Amino acid sequence: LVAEAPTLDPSLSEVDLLMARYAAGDDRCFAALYDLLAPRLYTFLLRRTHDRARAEDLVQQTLLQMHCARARFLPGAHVLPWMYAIAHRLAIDSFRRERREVPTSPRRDGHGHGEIADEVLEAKQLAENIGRELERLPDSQRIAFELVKLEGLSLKEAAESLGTTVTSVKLRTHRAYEAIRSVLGDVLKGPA
Amino acid sequence: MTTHPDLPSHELKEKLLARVRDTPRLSTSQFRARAVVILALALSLSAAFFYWRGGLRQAPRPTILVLETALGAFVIATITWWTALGRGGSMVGRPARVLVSLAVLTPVALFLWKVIWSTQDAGMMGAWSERPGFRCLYLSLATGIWPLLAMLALREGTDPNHPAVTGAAMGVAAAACAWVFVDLWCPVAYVPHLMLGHVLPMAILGSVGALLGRFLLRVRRI
Repeated sequence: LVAEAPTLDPSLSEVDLLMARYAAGDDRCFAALYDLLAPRLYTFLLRRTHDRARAEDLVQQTLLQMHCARARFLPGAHVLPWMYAIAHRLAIDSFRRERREVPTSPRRDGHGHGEIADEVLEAKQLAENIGRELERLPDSQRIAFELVKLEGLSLKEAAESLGTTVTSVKLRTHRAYEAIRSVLGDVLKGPA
Repeated sequence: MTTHPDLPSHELKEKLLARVRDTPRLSTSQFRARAVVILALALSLSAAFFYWRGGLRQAPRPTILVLETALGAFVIATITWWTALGRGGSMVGRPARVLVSLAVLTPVALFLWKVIWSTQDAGMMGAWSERPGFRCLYLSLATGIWPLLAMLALREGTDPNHPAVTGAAMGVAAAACAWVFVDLWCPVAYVPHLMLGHVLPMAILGSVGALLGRFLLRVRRI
């Protein structure tokens, strides 16, 4: 499908090219877009909601929004910052609507620790500690940190997604990183 | 069939694809044609109100002054319109600081442009006791509301970050468009008149745009 988009800038990512083709009227591209976007979107939303059903609902809503806005898509625009901006907004609205605080407990994925090797268990506990520290951060710092460090967006893309400047994202990410490091410093340094 | 804990369920894709099939949307080229019609209709309504309630009125201004002020206002309005309605190549829209600057600087630029050129001609800045500015205020609002509604319709449900700020910038852009029309009709450059009849409607339409934008431009559940 992507190979059929010769008129667009070749430096664009596969997702950007697919969305451009979908916006131009090629309905086949939506399934391919889903395959590329849904897993990372789900991971992002699961980290925020800790609730599989809610995360799936928000994945569906986010991708539906993108479908509904296909006519207004700008060929050459980046899809990921847009997708994360929609997902972030819908997640906030979802929490507000249900008048429920973001749970601070680690995510409930239904998997026990019973037979996991010690190293794996330690790694998992470390991840949970980091997750807990992330939960304690202000929302602006946490989302910037997640987009840059966990979702792999560039500073420019994260700034676009959050509607702010690159400097602000850099600052928020740095503060989040420092906060985590100050609490988990000894663990992060690892064995001497 | 089991699902990996870090992946969405298999049913989600089928459910989503079915919803997408059930809610067909226009392609970009189809939408572009519709956008041109909507904008043309809005500007036609503005022009119709302008000719119905005002129309071109030169006297007592020299022709060159009318051309200078109207052409300058047209250029400023065009830049404002392009900035407010465009998204700067990003699907998320322009940064809030750009839109806020636009909403603040446009009235200042239009006001200064009008005053600076009017001071060049003797008597143009004098007080007009019978023209406090209410008719200009009404005409500005009546001609500016249509472009604002058109812009909001074209960008409905597409701003996840700052819909109120985008709406305010659109309101000011629509008011800048109205300024061009009203400038062709109103010969008064007396500062209190300009503030009431020309600058105040920009603030009003900016506020209306912010209010409507907050509800119409924001991303909502489908």
